[in-house]
Order: sequence, then structure tokens, then C-alpha cells
Amino acid sequence: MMSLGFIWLDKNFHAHHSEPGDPTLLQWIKSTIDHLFGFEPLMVAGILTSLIIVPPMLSLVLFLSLRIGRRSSKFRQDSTE
Amino acid sequence: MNKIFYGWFVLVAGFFILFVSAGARNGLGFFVVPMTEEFEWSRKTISLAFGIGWFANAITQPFIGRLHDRFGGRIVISISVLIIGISSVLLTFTNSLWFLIIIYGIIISIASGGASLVTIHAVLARWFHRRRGMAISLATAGASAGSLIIAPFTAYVILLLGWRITWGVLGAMILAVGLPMALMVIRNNPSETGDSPDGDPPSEDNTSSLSSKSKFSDHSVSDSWTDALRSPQIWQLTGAYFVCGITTAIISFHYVPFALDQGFSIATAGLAFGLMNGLNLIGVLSTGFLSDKMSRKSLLASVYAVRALAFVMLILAPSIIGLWSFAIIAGLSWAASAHLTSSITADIYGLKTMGTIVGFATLAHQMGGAISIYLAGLLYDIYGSYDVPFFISATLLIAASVASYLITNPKLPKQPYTQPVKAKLGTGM
Repeated sequence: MMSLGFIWLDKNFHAHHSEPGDPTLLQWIKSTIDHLFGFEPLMVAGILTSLIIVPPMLSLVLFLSLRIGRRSSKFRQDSTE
Repeated sequence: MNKIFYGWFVLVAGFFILFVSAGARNGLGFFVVPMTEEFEWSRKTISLAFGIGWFANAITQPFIGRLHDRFGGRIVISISVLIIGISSVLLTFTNSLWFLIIIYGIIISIASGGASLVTIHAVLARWFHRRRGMAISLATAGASAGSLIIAPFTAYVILLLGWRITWGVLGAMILAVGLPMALMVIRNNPSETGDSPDGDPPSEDNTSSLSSKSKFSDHSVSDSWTDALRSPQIWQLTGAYFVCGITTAIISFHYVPFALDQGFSIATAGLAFGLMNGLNLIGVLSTGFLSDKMSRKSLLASVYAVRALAFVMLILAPSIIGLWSFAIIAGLSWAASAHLTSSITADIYGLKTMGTIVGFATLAHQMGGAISIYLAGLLYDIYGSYDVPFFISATLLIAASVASYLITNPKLPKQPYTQPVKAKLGTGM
């Protein structure tokens, strides 16, 4: 089953420094998602895209709005002084 | 309205940077089949690019950590995210193995070290002292969550748009999410926003990073990473992290083959492996919160001991019980060692050289992984089972647990870590 030589190059693995995942296992994960939810690939991709994009974008919007609010209140405070 | 401590924004930024950068890298396995089919490469050929990438990433970690210590996290993380994003888009034009090796194997892999646990942990360690364990573990959870979501996302986009466009999509996603987070939100240390670590009121003696309430008030620093190399603590931490690399790599690579060998289906093996990866989120977060309440070295020792127990279960328990008990026990300890190692490094050596020292430990971790994957395969060929490599893993983990428990305060020259408090207070939120 295992051969000598650069056997480790034959596959990739996921430890905890974000190395690539095993393609066979990843394929199985995808098949399981298909089987469990039965959605069209486009719909799954859309759901996953929103999961990836929306939370960080909302965080950025919150960050920027707080920063702008903070600056304008500081400006008003300075003006009154 | 009460001012929100700026460190929380840095933590959120760190979470999402690791989420996209680690997640995109983890989904790489899905490119193997379509790319090998289009270029008529063998698995071994395309794995050469990934293998070079892995080594390049490992070897450059201490240097990237050094860059962080010298120039600050914001610039290193921003440039790294920019390079990863643009290079991923460039992979859309892959036309040869050499192109893949240069762009992915060298450029992306080296840049990935700049947007990694090493740099994010080093930045967060400056912002959080009393809640350092919690903050660093939350950011680490970003990498785990990214892997869980972005890997399947990669598969579906390849299915819909092909592998070339998927590289472009991943690159655009990294640029859209990671770059604004790094450039606009990340700040190197609390003094830049007029804050103190943990959001505490600034202390009058300017030793702001050493809150009087901190349980790490005996916080010593190393001015030079070479000083650290002369102390036993770094070798205890790095040695234990080397063992961590050995044991996580063996499982990542050999767990599924082991399960198939025992007569389980790929579905059962995959489910057990998936459970293990899911539980690692719980393990990371719970140990992170606990590490602010109890001794971190004891917690790290416990993590390694628990993982040793998981390997013992794999050897001794009947096959189905061994498989699932390993998945549960090992899953809880899977990624907990990374943030604990970073936190303990900061506690012992301070923040000035933290990037370099954690980078050095990460190099050892990755090298341990490389060696173990090869040796486990070799031992399997010799003995016809995984019992010997699993037994060696359990033994090494017990040694790592003892080494971690015996970590003491360093004998380095002690001085308070001082951060210049800038005059422009109140620029934070």
C-alpha cells in the first residue's frame, strides 16, 4: 500500500497550518453535501459564497460606520471647544 | 456610547484573514483531479508543486516571523494577502508545471506564511494580555472555519466554472475580504490607537502592556531571538511542537488509509475524520478560554496527554470503538496546541521577538510532519500495520506532555516590556 521514496508527495493533508486537503476525502465531503441537501450546485455555491463574503463585509461596514461616527463626534466636540 | 476596545476589531480581522487564506489553501485538493486531467500530469507530478510549496512555507516561517517583529504585523500581513490574492488570480493562466511551481509552490506558499497563525497570533498577543488565550484561540478558529466552508465552496465553483476561473474567484475573494481587513483594521499594537492591552485604562508608568491586573506581571522579554535559543524553554516548546507536527501529520495522511485497512468504508472513514475536524473547533475554543483561567503549560501538557490517549485507544480498542473514540478524543486536542504554544511563547519571551520564535517552532512542526508521513509509510511497509507508528506517536506525545509541563520561567535578563504611549489618545473606537 505504501511505497518508499517521496510518498508524502503523493497526497496532501490538512494538519493545522492549512496544508492542502486530501483530494479523495474532499471529494467525499462534496458528495456527502450533495446527498444530504440535494441542492443544485449553483445554489450550494451561492449559499457558501454568502457565508464567506457577508460576515466579513458586515464587520467591515460596522467598523467603518463606527469610525466615521467617532470622527464626526470628535469633530463636533472640537468645534464646540 | 461606550468606546469599543479596538482589539476586538483586530481580532475579527485576524479571524477573517485566516478564514480566507487558510480556507483557500485547504481547498487545493480539489484542483488535483481537473488539473492533472487537463495537463495529463500524474498525481506525483502535481504533488511536486504542493510538496515544494509545503517546504517553502515551512522553511520561511522564521524569516517571515522576523519580518513581522521588525516591520510590524500590518504591513507584513497586508503585503502577504496582496501577493496571495494576485498570485491566485495569476494561476488562472497556468500553462505548465513550472508556472504552477513558481506561482503556487514558491510565491503563494511563502506569502502564506505572512498571513498565517504565526503573524496573526503575534499581532493579537500585543492587543490581549489577560484574555490572550481566548483571543488567539478565536482567531485560530477562523482557520478551521475557513477550511470547513471554503473547501466545499472550491469544489462547487470548479464544478460550475472550471478550475481556471475558480483560481480567479479564490484570488478575488482573498483580495476582497483579506486585504481591507489587513490594511484598514489591523494595527500593530494598542499604542497606535491610544489603547492599552485588553482595553484597560492606560497605566501612568507607561508600562501599558503590563497591566497590574495581569497574571503575567512577571513578564520577561527577550531582546533577541538568539537569546531565546539559549534558553531551555524554547527547546521544550519547539520539541513538543515537533511531536505535534509528527502526530497531526500521521493522522491527516494515514487515518483514512488506516480505516480502510480495518475494513471500514470511505464514508465511515470520512465521517470520523470530519467529526474530528469539527471537534477541533470546540477543542480550540474551550482550551483558549480555559488558558486564561489556568496554567497554560499544564493545559498544553494535558492536550498532548489526551492526544497520546487517543493513539493508545487506536492501538488497543476494538476497531470500531478505536476509530470513533480516536476521532472524538483526538479531535478535541487536534488544533489546541497551536494557540497554546503561541500564548506560552508570548508569556515567556515577550512580544518583541515573538514572530521569529513562533516561526521557528512552526518550522519544527512542519518538518516533524514531513518526516513522520514518510516514516509511518516505511514502518507500515515493514510491519504490515500502523501499530508501530501509532505506538511511537503515543510515546512521543507523553514525552511532549512531560516537556510542556516542566516548562519554567526563563533565565533570560528581565525587564518590563514597555510600549511608547502616543500622545494622540482617543483615535480608537
